[in-house]
Amino acid sequence: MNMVQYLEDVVAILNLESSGPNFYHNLNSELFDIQAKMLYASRAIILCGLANQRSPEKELQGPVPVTELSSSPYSFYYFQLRPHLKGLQNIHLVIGLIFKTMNKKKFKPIEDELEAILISSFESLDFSLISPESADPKLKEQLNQIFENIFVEINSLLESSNSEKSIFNLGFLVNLSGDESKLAKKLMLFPDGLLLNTLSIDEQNTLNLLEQKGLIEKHESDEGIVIIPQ
Amino acid sequence: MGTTITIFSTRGGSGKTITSVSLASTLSKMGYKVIIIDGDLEAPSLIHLIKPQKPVADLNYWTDYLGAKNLKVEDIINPTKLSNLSIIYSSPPEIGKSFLSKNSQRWWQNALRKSLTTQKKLYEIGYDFIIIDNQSGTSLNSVNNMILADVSLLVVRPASYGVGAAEVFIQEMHSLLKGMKPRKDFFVWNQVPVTDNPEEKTLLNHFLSKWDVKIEELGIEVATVIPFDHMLNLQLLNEITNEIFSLTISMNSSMLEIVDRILKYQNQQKRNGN
Ligand SMILES: Nc1ncnc2c1ncn2[C@@H]1O[C@H](COP(=O)(O)OP(=O)(O)OP(=O)(O)O)[C@@H](O)[C@H]1O
Ligand SMILES: [Mg+2]
Repeated sequence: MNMVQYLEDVVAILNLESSGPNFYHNLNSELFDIQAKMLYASRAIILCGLANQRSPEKELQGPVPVTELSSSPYSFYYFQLRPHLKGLQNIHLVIGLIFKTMNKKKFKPIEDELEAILISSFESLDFSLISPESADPKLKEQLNQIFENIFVEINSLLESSNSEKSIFNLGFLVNLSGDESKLAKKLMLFPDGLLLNTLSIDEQNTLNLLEQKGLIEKHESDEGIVIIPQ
Repeated sequence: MGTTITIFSTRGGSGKTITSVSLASTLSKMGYKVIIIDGDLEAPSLIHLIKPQKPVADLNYWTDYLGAKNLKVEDIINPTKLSNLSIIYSSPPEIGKSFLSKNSQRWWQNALRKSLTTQKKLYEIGYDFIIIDNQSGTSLNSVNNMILADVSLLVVRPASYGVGAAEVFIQEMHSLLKGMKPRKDFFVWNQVPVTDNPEEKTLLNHFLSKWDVKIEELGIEVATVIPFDHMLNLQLLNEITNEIFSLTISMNSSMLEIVDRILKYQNQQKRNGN
């Protein structure tokens, strides 16, 4: 839905060794604008190179601020992967994701998923296309495809985490599990509240699950505890 | 507790508004206290069919009410020429359109919550029936209006493309609305061609009976078949708006049939203790 809006926030860079081939993929015209393109790109790549020094493998690191990239503040996630192949011991891949710092709040909740996406995407890379000195042009094609996929996945992650958890959010409501959805649908019809004691024991158990998800609140009243759908 | 009837369709121009107004006036003439809401925020048309009794500039709209905190429900209820019938208008199309595009999902969540609260208030005020003239198709707005419904009327013109879309729509709608509260969905054939030619009659009946089976499979009942009434059509061309309540007399028998089915359903619900 908001594809463009989210995609513009993210830039991905891949660095194979600080001296080896670099690739970047971006959808951010501000960060990689035409005049300054190579300048920013090379700074980003240096950052990527610095990031690979002692970083643990297959773990999302960051975000770290990258104030030097442009006038508007950016932040940077990085992720290291080593292909465990004969003859490739010295190769490490560092994938950097750069985004506007003001969007940090959006990325925080999806960090775990982001890490999982990076692992699964880059493990599919054909490492036989890489040698310590060079990389086959086919690799670039593969990488571009991977980057595209990552962007799409990040985008949908941001979108789903962005859509509010609420009983009145119908898209969210239908994706709840059977019992929870059933109870949520019932509670929705009482936006001003429903007395807890009108629910069955089973429903009260399900209610606890809804409460854990922040979908209801309980308030005291003269007549007893009232459930307010959120 | 009153009953909310949402009139909807998958395609525009099927006759939702005409059906809403006719049904509302039929019920109010029977002595029920009725309020009709223009829930079609994309193309609100009630304002053209039931002229407001005060200057348009002084009207408060459903759309404003859903979004604003400082309007009370009393501020948006307007009288009509029929003493038992009140109306809530929506804003004219220009405002309506930009309004739809600029409002976010969050806005519609609040609107749903507010609609549900308002529904209760309207029953408290004493309305027996709330009739919602819904927007066609699936939008957050039209789904919100379907959630309010105890009874829905799906108005469809007999054309294969229209009915096919309705089938998909019903299935999707049902999966969302399933288990929410007791509801009864009716199918209304509208603008059904009238002909004396035996061959044409056969063609029409073949079409309708084929769909009757499908409609039944979807758990929906055909409430009525409204013939194409070219007088009604011509009168509407003229926008003889103040005559709207007499103009709809041509639909009377169909409306009585719908009312009959709704009342039967209500009785059945009462017997079941709902
Ligand atoms: N039974 C009928 N016989 C003849 N004409 C009809 C009949 N029902 C509706 N119409 C014609 O179809 C037109 C559309 O009807 P109406 O405005 O009620 O449809 P709608 O579904 O509310 O449309 P929209 O999607 O634009 O809101 C009317 O102007 C009227 O001329
Ligand atoms: Mg209409």
